[in-house]
Order: sequence, then C-alpha cells, then structure tokens
Amino acid sequence: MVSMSLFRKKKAGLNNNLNMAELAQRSLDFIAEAVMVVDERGMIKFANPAAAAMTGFGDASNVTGLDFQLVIHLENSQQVPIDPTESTLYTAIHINQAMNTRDYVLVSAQSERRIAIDLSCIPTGDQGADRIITFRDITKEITEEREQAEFISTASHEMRTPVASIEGYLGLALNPQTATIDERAHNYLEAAHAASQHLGRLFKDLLDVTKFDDSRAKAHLIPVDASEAVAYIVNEQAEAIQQKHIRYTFGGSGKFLDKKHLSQKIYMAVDYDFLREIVNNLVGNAIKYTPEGGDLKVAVKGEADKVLITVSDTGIGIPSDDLSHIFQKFYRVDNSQTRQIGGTGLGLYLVKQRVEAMNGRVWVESDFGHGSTFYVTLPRISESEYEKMRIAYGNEKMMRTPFVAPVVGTATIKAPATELTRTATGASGIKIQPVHQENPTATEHSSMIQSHKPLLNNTTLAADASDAPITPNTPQIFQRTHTILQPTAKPAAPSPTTPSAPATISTPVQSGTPSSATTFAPTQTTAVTGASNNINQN
Amino acid sequence: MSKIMIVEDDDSLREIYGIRLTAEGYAVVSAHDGEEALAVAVRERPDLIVSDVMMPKISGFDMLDILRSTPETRNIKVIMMTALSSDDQRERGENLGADRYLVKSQVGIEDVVNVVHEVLGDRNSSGMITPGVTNFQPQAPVTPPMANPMQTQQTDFPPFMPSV
Repeated sequence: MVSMSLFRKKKAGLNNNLNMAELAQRSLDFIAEAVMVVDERGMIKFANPAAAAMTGFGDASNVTGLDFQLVIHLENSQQVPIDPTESTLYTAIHINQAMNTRDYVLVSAQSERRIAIDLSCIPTGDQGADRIITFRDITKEITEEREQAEFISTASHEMRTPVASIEGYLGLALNPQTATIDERAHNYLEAAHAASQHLGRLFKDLLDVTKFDDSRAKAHLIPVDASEAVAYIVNEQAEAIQQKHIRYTFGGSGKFLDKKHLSQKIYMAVDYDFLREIVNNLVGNAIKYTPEGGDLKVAVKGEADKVLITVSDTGIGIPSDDLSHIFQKFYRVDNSQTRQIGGTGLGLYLVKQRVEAMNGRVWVESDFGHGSTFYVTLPRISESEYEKMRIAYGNEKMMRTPFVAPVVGTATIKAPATELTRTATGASGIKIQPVHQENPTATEHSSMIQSHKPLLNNTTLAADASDAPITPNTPQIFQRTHTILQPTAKPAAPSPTTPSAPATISTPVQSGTPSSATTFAPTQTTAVTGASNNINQN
Repeated sequence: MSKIMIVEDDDSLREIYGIRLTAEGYAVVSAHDGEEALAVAVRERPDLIVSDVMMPKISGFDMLDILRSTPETRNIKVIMMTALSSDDQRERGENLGADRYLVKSQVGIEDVVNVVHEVLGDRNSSGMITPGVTNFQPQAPVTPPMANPMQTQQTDFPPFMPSV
C-alpha cells in the first residue's frame, strides 16, 4: 500500500510525518503477528489487534495497563503451564535482554485455545526503556515440519532394507566360509562393505533425529551417580583425546549447598542412553573443534536441586552471531575452519532435545577464537530418592536378567588441596600421575590427569579435605571395553536343559523367578488360518 | 547339530542369514511369515528360531505368543529381530518370552551369529556363556565397542549404575 507519491511527499515536512505514522499504525492493525510494547516492569503500554485476539482478550484496550503475565499465558509442548516467573520471556523482560523461542504454547484466556508460537522479546534501549514483545502462530509450520520428519523417517526406514542386504551379501562374499574370491576382489568388496556400513550409520542417525521430532522417544529414567556417570562416558573418547594431546581435566564438587543434600554424592535420574548421547556429543565437539594440545575440562557440580554439567574447551569458539542458532536442526557455523572439520549440524539439536526430554536445560557461552563452554542442567535427586529408585530399578532388573554388573569403585583421591604427589597404579599396570593442580576455588576442585592409553582416570578432590584412603582402581574400569559379565546370582528359576526334547514339564524358557511364569499365558486370542491343528487357541 | 529356523519376509535377508548360519554348521530351515513359521516349527522342531518382528499376516510377536502357548513349541529358544528400537517393543518381547531381542540397526550379522551361539550355548572357548541360562540383555561381544559400530544393545552396565 506504499505509493510512489509517498516518496515525493518526503520533502513536504510535517504532513509527511502524519502519513508515516498512519501507515505504521495501519500495518500493526492488519498484520497477523502480535506486537506488544511493555515497560520495564512488564506493564503493557500497547498491543495490536492480533495480540489481543491471540491472547483472547478481544480488544487491545482490554490489555493496556495490565501486567503482561496476566495476558500472556504460556505452556510447554506437554501442556504443562509455565510458571510466569520462570519463563524465558519473564527473564528477558526483567533484565532487558533480547530473546527468541519456539518452545512455548500460548493459551487463549477465553477459549483455552492453544497456539504454538514463535515468541520474541526485543529491547529498545537501556534498562528503563520499553521492550517489544512479538509472537506469531507457527502451528502450520510445526505441522509441516512434523510431516517432513515423518517422511524422512519412513524413507530412511525403507532405504535401510536394501542397505542391509548389500551389507549382508558383501559380508558373505568376504567370508572364506561362504565364498572364495581373489585378493583384488577382496579389497574392492571390503571397501564396499565399509561404505555400506557407513551408509547404514547415516540412516540410523537420520532416524534418531526424526524419531525425536515425533516425540515418541520417551526418557526411561534410572538413578545414577552424576559424577561417575559423566566421567565414565567421557572415558569412551579417551583415545581421541589422547591422539590430539588434549589436556583433559575432570572436576566435580560434591559440596552441598543446603540441608537437602547432606552427602558428597550428586545423584540424578536420567535416561542413560540420552545422557550418553549428550555427553558424547558435547565432548566429541570439544575434541573436534579444539586444535592439538588444547584443553578440555568437564565438570559436574551439584546445586540445590540441579546438577550442572559443564564442558569447556579451548577450541575455535563460536561467533556471537551464531550462538543463538547452534542448537537448531542442521545449523552449522560456516567459516573456513568449520568447513574443514565437517559435521551434520544435528549433534547439538539432538543434545537439546534429549536434555529437554529429561526436564533439563542446555546453553552455551563462547569466546570466538578462544573456546566455548557448554552448560547442561538436569534435575537432581537426593540420596534417599536415589536409594529408593535404585532398589526399584534393581528389582526390575533382577526379574529380567541374572547378569548384573559387578560392583566397582573408582579411584577417589582425597588429599589436602594444596598438594598431590602420590601416584596410583591401576590394577592393569597403568600409572596415573597427576600432572598439574589448579588452585581450588570455593566450589570446585579439579586436577589434571594425564593418563596412558587408552584410559582416563578421574580423580575428584573433595571440597573439604576429608581423609579417605586412596582406593586402588578396580580392574573393571580399565577393562571397560572388554567387560565380561559374570552372573553374581544364579537365577531362581530352574534352567531348561535340552530344548529339543518336547517338554513334559512346563518350564518357561526365560530368566527370572518362578512367579513370572504366569506372564506366558497368551494375552490374546489369535486365529490362525491354515496352521497346524495342534496349535492351541485360547 | 542344532537346527535353526529363520523367519524373515525379506528374501535377501533370509538368504543371507541362511547361508551364514549354514556355514556356521547349523541345519537351517526358513519361513517367510509368521503363519508359515508356526507350521514349520511344529513340523521341524528347531532348537532356535531367529525371527523378524515386522511381518505380513501375523507379526513376530503374535507368532511368539502362539509358540509359547503350544506345548510342542513352547521351549524353542527365540531371538527376535526388529528394525524398531522402542523400549515398549523390547518389553513386549521380553514379556512374551523371547530369549533375545536385537535391534537390526545396532547389530551386524556377525553379532547375530555370536548371539545364536550364546543362546544355544554351543561355544566353549571364550567362557562367556553359561549354557542353559537365558538372560535378556545381550552379552558384550569380545570386540571393543569403538571398533565395531554395530553393537548389540546396552551391553555392559557402567559401574555407577545401581547393581543389586
């Protein structure tokens, strides 16, 4: 609706300003996007018709003068209302910061209609100045994204079958038991086999991502010791860390901040697979983007009701422009260094999804050119909750499998904070020598450990130097990659001996206690056509 | 020698498993859907069934259910293979009495061969298996996890996880 005459009128002066203001107003009146102006206390000074309509207040005059929290009701995607003081919008308005999120759903005051929104807060000046809030309906976009994800999922699924066939036949060709080929053919086929395996992995990754979008993946929570869990997972990348001569530090603090947590241990209830993916991704990125000889620091701290995991590196860092985008799907920072390093742009997106699936938060701070620090918070559980869950979990596991992990300990070296001179020797003969000790801070102690291939040792200095004796490393830690599970308890049920003879005793072929024998009664009636006449139908 | 029945609707995969397991020394019979599988199971009395879950006519789970409720086939060991890795699928498999539940995307054919040996308890060298005792979580294969990206599910329990 902007006519060329407007530009000619620029020279007209006062008249011109009125028209501009009019046009601006008309734009705000007609757009579908909601626009509000609030003052530093969050009081609404202006709202356009779209804002009033979407929030269910009818007319803009109904909302002016109200606190924005009374007007903008938010929920998360699980239909759980967001505590107004805990929303990122509240924070942004409070501290006069720019923010944008697609995590929230707006609930209309009148009709309880739910609208997924893309929400932003835009400062206009200093702390005393107004803030602009905008949001728009992204329901359609989300539906499209979901359909896309489903399509990718279906397509990937379909493509996996021929990939599996290719891999299978190549395997047979390469196996001397099943085929005889000459050396040249062997080399070519081996290359093809490796490529097909790679392809299989790519599809798997793709499916993992889309599976999450479908939000069909639920977190299956188990209780863990946070420090040990994280340290253990980082250990998986020991080789990569050592190959790049990266100095690895693991720090932790068991210090309690309130009466709730009296023990030195930090416990949390997590989905172990998710945690593994999160830590592996963050640590993997740190390794990837940090040049040789750099530093990697992983820390686990316990706060009142949260566990804070930090992964810091001295890598190439992230430009500030990219910071707010890096958790987006497929987003990749594009500069000469990242182009060389390569990546899919899915890793951090996966991390965010998995963290949030466990009710946690993830964010990043970075100094471009010097390094980055990723923060993950997850809900913390108390020691008694840990024990309760442990028993429940243990029982569940016992029912299904008699093979449980042997109880292992990690080496915990607790020493006066100023000096660390002892050398611990692992059972497998690996010497672990602390190389350097940082000055302990009030909340965290850490030590740098340089270990020999292929394993890392984590030592945690207690916040207050209590005199616990040094416990030697138990073999299981070092043999992680070759763990052979031994049954610690025989299963209660009698083990079936010869499966070939028709069973005259109805002993169910399963592990567990006799009481679970009843689970094998058929749960449904199935009519089978054309089957043998001896099959029961009950 | 033990007899294995392969139940798989994809012709190529059925052939591949068949050839590989025959080379391993087993007698192999096969079926291409759950219905045929039941008939063949009763007729051939295999020691072990390796079965896909997603199949036409009746699913692998339904087949398993019927197997377990039929006296003649009740004690046949069963390894279920699926393309889906959802937890509730696994639970369902466990509850129906599968001896192992493998996710196709996570295991390679060699892992399947290893698991077959484990379940039948006929490998005497590595000492990893206790014959006759069935457990649900697959054992850790001897190759370290990093070398072989195709892994059986959740193999070893990290030390910090509660052990009872």
